[in-house]
Amino acid sequence: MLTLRYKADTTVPVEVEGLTPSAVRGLSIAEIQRFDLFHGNRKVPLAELFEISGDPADARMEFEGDLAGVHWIGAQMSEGEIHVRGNAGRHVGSEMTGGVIHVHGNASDWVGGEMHGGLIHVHGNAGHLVGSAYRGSAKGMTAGVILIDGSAGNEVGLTMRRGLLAVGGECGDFVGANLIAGTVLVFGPCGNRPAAAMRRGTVGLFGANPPSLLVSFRKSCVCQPTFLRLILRHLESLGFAVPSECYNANYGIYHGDHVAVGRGEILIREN
Amino acid sequence: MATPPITKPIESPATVITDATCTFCGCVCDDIDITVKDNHITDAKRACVLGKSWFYGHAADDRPDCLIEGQPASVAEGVERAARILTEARYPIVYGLSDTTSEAQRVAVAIGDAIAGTVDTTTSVCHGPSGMAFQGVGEVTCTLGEVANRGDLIIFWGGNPAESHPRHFSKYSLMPKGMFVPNGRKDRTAVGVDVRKTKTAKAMDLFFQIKPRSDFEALWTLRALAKSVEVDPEQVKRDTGIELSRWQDLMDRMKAAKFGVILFGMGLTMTRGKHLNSEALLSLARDMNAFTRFVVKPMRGHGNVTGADNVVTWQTGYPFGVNMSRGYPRFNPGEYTTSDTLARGEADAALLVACDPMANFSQPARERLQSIPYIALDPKETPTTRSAAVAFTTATYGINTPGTVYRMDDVPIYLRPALSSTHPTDLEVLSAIHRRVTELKK
Amino acid sequence: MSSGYFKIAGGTVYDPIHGVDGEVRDIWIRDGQIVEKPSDSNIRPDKTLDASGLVVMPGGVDMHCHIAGPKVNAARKMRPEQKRKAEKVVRTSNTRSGTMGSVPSTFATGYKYAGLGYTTAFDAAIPPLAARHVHEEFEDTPCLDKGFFVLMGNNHFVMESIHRKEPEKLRSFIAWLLGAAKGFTPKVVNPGGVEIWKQLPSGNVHGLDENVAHFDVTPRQIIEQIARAVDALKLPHSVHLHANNLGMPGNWITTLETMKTFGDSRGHLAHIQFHSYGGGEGDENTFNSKVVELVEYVNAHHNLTVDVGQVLFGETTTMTADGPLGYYLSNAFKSKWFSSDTEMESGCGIAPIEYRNTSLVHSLQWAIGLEWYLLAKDPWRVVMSTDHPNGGSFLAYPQIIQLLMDRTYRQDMLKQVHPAVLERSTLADLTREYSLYEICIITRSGPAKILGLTRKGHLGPGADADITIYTPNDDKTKMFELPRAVIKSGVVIVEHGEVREPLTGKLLYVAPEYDTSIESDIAEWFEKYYSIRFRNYPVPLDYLHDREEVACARL
Repeated sequence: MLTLRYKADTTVPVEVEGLTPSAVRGLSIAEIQRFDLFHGNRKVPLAELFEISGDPADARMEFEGDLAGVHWIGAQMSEGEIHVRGNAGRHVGSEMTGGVIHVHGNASDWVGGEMHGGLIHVHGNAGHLVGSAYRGSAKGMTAGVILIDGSAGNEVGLTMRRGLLAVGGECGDFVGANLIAGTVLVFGPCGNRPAAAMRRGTVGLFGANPPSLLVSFRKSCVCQPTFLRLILRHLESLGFAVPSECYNANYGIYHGDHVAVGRGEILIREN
Repeated sequence: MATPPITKPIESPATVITDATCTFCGCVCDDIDITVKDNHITDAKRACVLGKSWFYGHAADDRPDCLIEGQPASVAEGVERAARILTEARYPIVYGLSDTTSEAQRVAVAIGDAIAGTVDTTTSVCHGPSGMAFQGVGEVTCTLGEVANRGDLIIFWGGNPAESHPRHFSKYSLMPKGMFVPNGRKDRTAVGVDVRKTKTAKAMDLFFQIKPRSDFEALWTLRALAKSVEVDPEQVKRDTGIELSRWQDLMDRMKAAKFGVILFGMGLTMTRGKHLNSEALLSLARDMNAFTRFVVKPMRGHGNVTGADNVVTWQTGYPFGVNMSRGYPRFNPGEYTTSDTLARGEADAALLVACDPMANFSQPARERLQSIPYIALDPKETPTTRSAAVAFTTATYGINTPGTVYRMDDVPIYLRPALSSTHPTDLEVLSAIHRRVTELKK
Repeated sequence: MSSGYFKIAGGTVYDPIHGVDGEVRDIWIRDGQIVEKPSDSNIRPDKTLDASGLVVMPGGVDMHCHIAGPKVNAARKMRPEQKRKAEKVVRTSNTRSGTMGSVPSTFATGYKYAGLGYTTAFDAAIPPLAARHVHEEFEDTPCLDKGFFVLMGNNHFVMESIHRKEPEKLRSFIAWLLGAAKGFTPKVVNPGGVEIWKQLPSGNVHGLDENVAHFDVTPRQIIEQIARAVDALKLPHSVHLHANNLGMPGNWITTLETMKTFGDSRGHLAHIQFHSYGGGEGDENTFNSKVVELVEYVNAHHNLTVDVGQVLFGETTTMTADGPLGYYLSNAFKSKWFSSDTEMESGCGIAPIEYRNTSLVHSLQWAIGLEWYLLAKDPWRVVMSTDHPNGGSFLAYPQIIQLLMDRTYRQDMLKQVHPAVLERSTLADLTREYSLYEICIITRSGPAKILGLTRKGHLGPGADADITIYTPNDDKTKMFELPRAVIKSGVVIVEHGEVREPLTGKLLYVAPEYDTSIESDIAEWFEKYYSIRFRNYPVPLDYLHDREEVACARL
């Protein structure tokens, strides 16, 4: 395990894309200390911002400190494990294809932006645009699992095209907007306009006081879908806390968004 | 004894500059006749109340061309100091740009490139969300002459052009006797949608006073009606505050129009939903083209904010919020936009051109700006110029300087300046800063 | 003491305008021009570039691309997702940063064109109301001499004067408009069709003799009258036409009719590949190539020239002044869509597209482009283009060259496309391979001649010193992707792929004479319906920095 203790005191953004388990596992400590990072527009050696110790050979990295100003942690990673013992900045796990990231604190915006595989677990809160597409993209996240224990902001799962996303706390507006495929589940309260322009896929709103849906959604039935129980068990096996009442609750199934393709569904917990 | 000659005050003749351009708002009216006497504008024929305040509000002043830490200095000293601030910074931002010529904007972007900084314009606090929506779904639009010649159903959504763009109705959208709308106003139906009754509402044939922050629901109702999706009347009333039957009537009119136009403002882009509100509107316009011709136009505010969009786009590929820290352009609204880079304390220096963030940004943003060294260019003295490390008093575009501006519909128009000024132009100051920055960066 | 001469020594020179086919000779340059070798043998060049073993050609001329103006800029703005993933153009001490994707930013456009050895490019379609915008962008597009074609095929004054049968007025108006915009020739895009699009949902014209409502003219009349006016004005380049029914199965009939409409007038048909389809009623199963029939007509009629508009597989962006076409494409591909109608003048449509080799239609489009090159008898009248970026990026030109010069490479690619291409086109049977001489014609000498640019596209004395030097390579893509050196106006601007000196380049425009009394008519019409003032419309000469008027032949 390679430990990187953040020692910088700056509000200018630090960007660390490229610093992945695959990139460092074959490097010596001296080489890692010289690894190019960016502090605003300056290229700086890693050692200027981090104290490092340990051995990268097992493809496991541990960041320590408040890295709220450090961005692109785990971006494009394909294997290995990253733990952030503290907060993390923007674009955590952006475009990753494999491996596991745990943030034992809060993360900022764009957690798992256009993710293609792997697992991200934020044990605190996340910002806006979790598992989302970047501006202009015809599709966003395509595979992988994102778990947010706490709250998330707006546009969770924007233009998602498969994958599994779960938010334990509350989320903001437009969850699952433009959803193409995949599953987004929110266990806390949720903001307005969920699943706007949804094409296919599933959005689950399991918190108290679910919002009213847009006029272009149609209630179809109330049931206890088996597939949901399987997903909930899967989430628990990944270390995500699922409220027990979700297993046997009744769910209203709503079809839409009929303004778009309209083959998606929203599940709203009724009891 | 000879009597001394009686000297009469010399009457200098007044000159009239015809077809001059006003840059106060996005209308960019180019039919103003300006009368100039003794380097004062004494008349601005056809200018609206905003235009008149623009033209009459320019008197020669004797403020220094440059102030460093509030003390008068030479432009050369200011340029040197500015260049050092910008080249030493690790996250410098270049912001503003909307109230200056495209020639100056081009140099500002060049500076942003040279200092590996972030270039952003006032678009990001105005119609930036519309730009983002455009990137999501596209846009169906036209030049303003098409509105005047063809538009027969004109919808104003979330804006108050009667007060923000006073000549818009008469010049472009409601009054003109157009080629296919020969009876002008009589051939048109005007519809307003807003959360309160403004002066604009009074000029409308139909007015929809929707519940605050329900623009998205209203647009979604219209989208559903366009596609003949059945909707629950009670829910529509609850969501929007307007009966379904009224929305249905509007949709019927929209489908029956020959050339529908929706002009929209900050009521849509700056309320909850923002770019997704804009996206809903742009999508509605696209949907409508299956039935009839339909276009939208964002009502741009400042005179050359459209120029800023265009310049930043052609030079970098992205319209605003462009970061060049890594030596190449990156775009991400919410990350590289100025209200964010300031409020989060990321920017460590700034070059502010023709804007006043100290007056209108959030508290954390203003606090950060106060704490970092920044350069401000402005013809006026403002809260922003007063706290600047280096402040340049520059000539006013369109009044003192020539140059190109872009109207809200992207039509480029050249300025005919009326008055001379002792101050340097934005273009001169920025060019000097760019030269020095380039030397320092070698 | 400096002699002012720059010598390119011992290169293998291709100069088809002077019939030079791979001869070893020197080229002498002075004051930005190619000159005769100094008669005084004591005069030494200040600089010599040893080109022995290297291929020397005139700088490339792209006569049909979309690189500047409101339509191109909207497309840039619309595709951040493509730019995000594309090659980064990094700032250097003498070059600006930029972005790529199918619609590069302006500086990147200039550097990349120059990087391929191109030194002249013409934007194919500009509404004159936006002329100033184009001139500004051109100034930020380095390394190239540039010009643009002015949209007129749906211009209201044009249609009115055709309806009233006033050819002199039309001629004067065209001359005035070209001078006002500082453009190069009239561009006609889907004549009449864009006006109908503005009037009706999904509006368009489908035949040459359909009536354009309100103006009561037909597309045939528009084409015929503008072509005649252009010849009467003796403009250096003919009228430049994007014919009706682009992209529609069965459109070859419209194309053939259009060719006949020119009569004896000169005419250039743009991106002819998109207009060469058999079949009909949108039935994919009958979509096929009609190049054989069309090329026969072009071969026999020397007043006609074409550029191909080659399709290449991959993602790109369609952008056209053909408003209804943009709508059609965005619906067909379910993509985002930009459209803008310019008052009195034109329209535009933009939609992202991906050409796939698994698609029958796209594979046929690819094959049809190649058929045009391979079946054309006269390389001087068939110009290479991708209608950048509509068929693909200009960066694909080296690949097209290899497809034309290397039959094996072509056959290999043929194996990877949809098999229907084998029955529905003749490509599999075409064994022709282009020579370097012919490549030189279709990429520089031919287009220069068609544009009427007497100082471009050749290496004789008096030519602008725009020269590209290539290192020979059997892999023609590699050879043409990375010139050894590129010279512009006598200055080495690119060497080994690096931009050494990004010159701005000049604006090439025409200023045909006309009876100025027409201006009061134009002003009256203008002030009635335009939304800007007549006086603010024309672009004065002093707005332009570096510029050169290209002469019309004496009237």
